[in-house]
Amino acid sequence: MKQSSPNRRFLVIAACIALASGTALGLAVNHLSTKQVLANSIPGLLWPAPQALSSFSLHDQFGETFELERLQGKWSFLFFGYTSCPDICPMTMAVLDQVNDLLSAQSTEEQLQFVLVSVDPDRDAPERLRDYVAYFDDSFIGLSGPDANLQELTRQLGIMYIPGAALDGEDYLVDHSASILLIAPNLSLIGVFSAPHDPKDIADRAARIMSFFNAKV
Amino acid sequence: MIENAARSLILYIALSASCLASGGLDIRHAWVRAAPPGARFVAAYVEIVNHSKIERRLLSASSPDAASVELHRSEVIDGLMRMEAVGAVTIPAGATFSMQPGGYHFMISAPGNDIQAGGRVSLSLEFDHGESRSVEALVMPVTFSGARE
Repeated sequence: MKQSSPNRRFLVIAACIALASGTALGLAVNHLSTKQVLANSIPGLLWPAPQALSSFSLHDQFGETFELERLQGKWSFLFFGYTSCPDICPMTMAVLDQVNDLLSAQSTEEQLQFVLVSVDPDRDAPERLRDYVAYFDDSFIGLSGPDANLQELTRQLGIMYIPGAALDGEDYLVDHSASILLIAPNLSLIGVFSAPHDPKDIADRAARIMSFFNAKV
Repeated sequence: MIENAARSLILYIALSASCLASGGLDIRHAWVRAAPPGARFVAAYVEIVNHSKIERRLLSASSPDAASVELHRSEVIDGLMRMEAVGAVTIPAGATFSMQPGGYHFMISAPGNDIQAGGRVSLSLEFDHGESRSVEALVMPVTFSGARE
């Protein structure tokens, strides 16, 4: 029996290691799933793999170049629309205005920015966008650019826009994706808010996405 | 601006309450969303109640204040926001046809027209049986959603 003692000691140690690592693994798995369960409870949160944005180049309502870096370090709400759109676009801009008010009232330290990306580059020159976005909020940003540049952004975000029905004269409508997108400060697409849009609901979910994101990082 | 907005809201409620009932068709809650600068189109909304025992059809609309008025419908299909012109709308007997943001609306082309909260836009609605009805739509602030208490 004496000679079995080292083996037994080895077995005990091995068992202890197995137990400890098993527990650690179990805790890790349990932690991950808790995180994922939390993520799943926030509708619109894109988790566990928010898509990283790649470069694009547009210009803002003042004619200044607006590239990927301008989204860095801020929470950016992106909406795709156009100024000649009478129903949904002004409605959504008004929703964003209210989301801005609601989130700002929570006095978080997060920097927010609200961006209308025009899907009607032919008609929405910077001057037109300047007056349009300022009507909703002075801080709002309006982007436009040639189709090729616009598609650098829309394609990676899964946003579609298609010139639609022709109207009297030279006017026409543009069909476009209705969702509001949320870009995290680390330049990843972290949230999608599908239509119909309710300001309180969006503000609430955005706040939860922000806390979730900050807890993780 | 805020005074205008408040005044237009009061007018909106007052006019909505005193809806014009005649010929079995009630046209109420007529409003237009204020035009942001540069917007060449604005949307107008009304609610039509058909109190009669026969179905009625809304055929078209026009306005002395606008270049054109078209009946349109917005809808989201597979995440894509679409807007399209709608010919005529049938309102079954006893039914209510509600135009609202994100759905049916009159698309008003008013280039250069200063449509601001507190103002009014005259609308003329053409129905079947040769019935024409006029309504004054109040211009509401851009943040107004049409939601009623």
